Amino acid sequence: MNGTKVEKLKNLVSLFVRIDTQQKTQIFGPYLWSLFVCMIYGFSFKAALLGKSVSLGKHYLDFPLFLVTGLFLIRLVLPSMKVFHNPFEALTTNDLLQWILVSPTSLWEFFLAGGLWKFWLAITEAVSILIFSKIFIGTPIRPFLNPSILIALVLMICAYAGIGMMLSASALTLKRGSFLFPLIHQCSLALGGAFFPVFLFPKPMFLLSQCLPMTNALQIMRLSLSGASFSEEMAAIGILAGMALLFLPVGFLCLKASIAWCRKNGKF
Amino acid sequence: MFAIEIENLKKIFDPPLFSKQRPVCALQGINLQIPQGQIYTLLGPNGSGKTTLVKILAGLIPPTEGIARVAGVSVLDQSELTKKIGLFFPGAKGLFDFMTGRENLHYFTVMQNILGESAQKRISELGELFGLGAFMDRKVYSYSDGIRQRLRLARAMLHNPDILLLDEPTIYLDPIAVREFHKILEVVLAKDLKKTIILTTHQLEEAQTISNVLGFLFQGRIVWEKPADVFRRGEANLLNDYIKTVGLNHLL
Repeated sequence: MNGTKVEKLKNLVSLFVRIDTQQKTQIFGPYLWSLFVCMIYGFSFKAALLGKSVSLGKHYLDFPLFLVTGLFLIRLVLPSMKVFHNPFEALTTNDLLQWILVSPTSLWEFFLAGGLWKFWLAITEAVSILIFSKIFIGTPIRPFLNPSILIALVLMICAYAGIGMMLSASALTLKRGSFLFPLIHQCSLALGGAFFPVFLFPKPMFLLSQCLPMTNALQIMRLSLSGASFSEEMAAIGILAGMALLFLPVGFLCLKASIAWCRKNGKF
Repeated sequence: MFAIEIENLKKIFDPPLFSKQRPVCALQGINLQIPQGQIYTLLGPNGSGKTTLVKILAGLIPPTEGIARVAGVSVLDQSELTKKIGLFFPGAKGLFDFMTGRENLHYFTVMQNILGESAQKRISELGELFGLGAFMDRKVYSYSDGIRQRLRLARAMLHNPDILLLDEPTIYLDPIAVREFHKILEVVLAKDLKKTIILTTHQLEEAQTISNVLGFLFQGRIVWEKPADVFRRGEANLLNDYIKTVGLNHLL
């Protein structure tokens, strides 16, 4: 990337920052939420759950750490899915889409700039959960830097970005489908095993939960934090990589085709 | 060379996916030639195809059939076309209200690939040209509709295009703001800067006051083209011609 392109990208990112920080208080909401949740859980654990563990098959993980991993990952699901949809919504809400389509800046540059900003927000929110959980619950932060956890994060983000692109394509061409974003987010929240182990589910729900990228990412994270070896995490990594490799290119092609269709038929 | 050349231009819109609706034929063979430096106004009732034609000329939608060239560039050549045209669409929004006029123009220059000092210079030039000086550092939400329109026009001019496509630019303006806006179009853009302006409007008085030529679009066809002088001199009456073309049945 040459200097001009970097300067342009920097400017476009700052545009999305300006759009999102019109009301300055808006930006602190998620961080305050992280603080509040960690305080509440801190008190709960001190009362009853501190020292209890959750079974992961051969391994066990302290319940506080089990829960913090869930809280951490759930913050990344929606921004990953909406990485392409959020900038698009920002442009249409401000009535700017047509103007941008006749400028030399492509929609993909906007998606990249908007996505970078949204990811920055999501990652800092997730990190704030780790920091507050360290303060209020006493969970360690260092084990989160394990390579297999980082691999799981990247693969999960890619898989959800792919799903998000498919949903964006549907929202663009069929003029419906935006409701699917919160639906999949809620399914991930309920079935992904963020707050309790998925083996507690009845079998059909358990099987459904295995189809979610989040369940597999959590499995990898929790196994890694409980001291399991890399070979024990391989099965979940393989499934998650398969999902990322399937959803990301399919989502990209769907979104590209839907943008072309919208341009051809004046549907923007 | 003509600023705009259109030959047998047709546009058929596909129905939404999985719907039983039929394709819609919005333009049925448009032929048009507009010389440089003219203000050409497109008239016609709602749904006649004016905005579709403007969108095709802007490269927002491709034609189904036929050829359209803007300043010698095919409308299908998006990367070259963006340099030649400045677009002005109506709409209550279209600007970042929480930013100043200068900040708005800054972000739009970025989108036009104009960066650094040349961007600042261009913004100052346009602020002066459109009489925005005192307003440039105020937030856009405090602007009147007239000042907003001027800012939109400045935005369309950021990359100094040869041709301006203005879709109902005076729709929200009071008569005084309309007059000021016309002055900018006629004197600054058309006369001084020799820009070609394609305008769509429903205001008949506006059309005959500022245009060089009027074209009447009805059911996807240009049914007549007349010099605006004919109407200004009183040799013909624009409202009568409008009603005659559209038919009273269409109006009632």
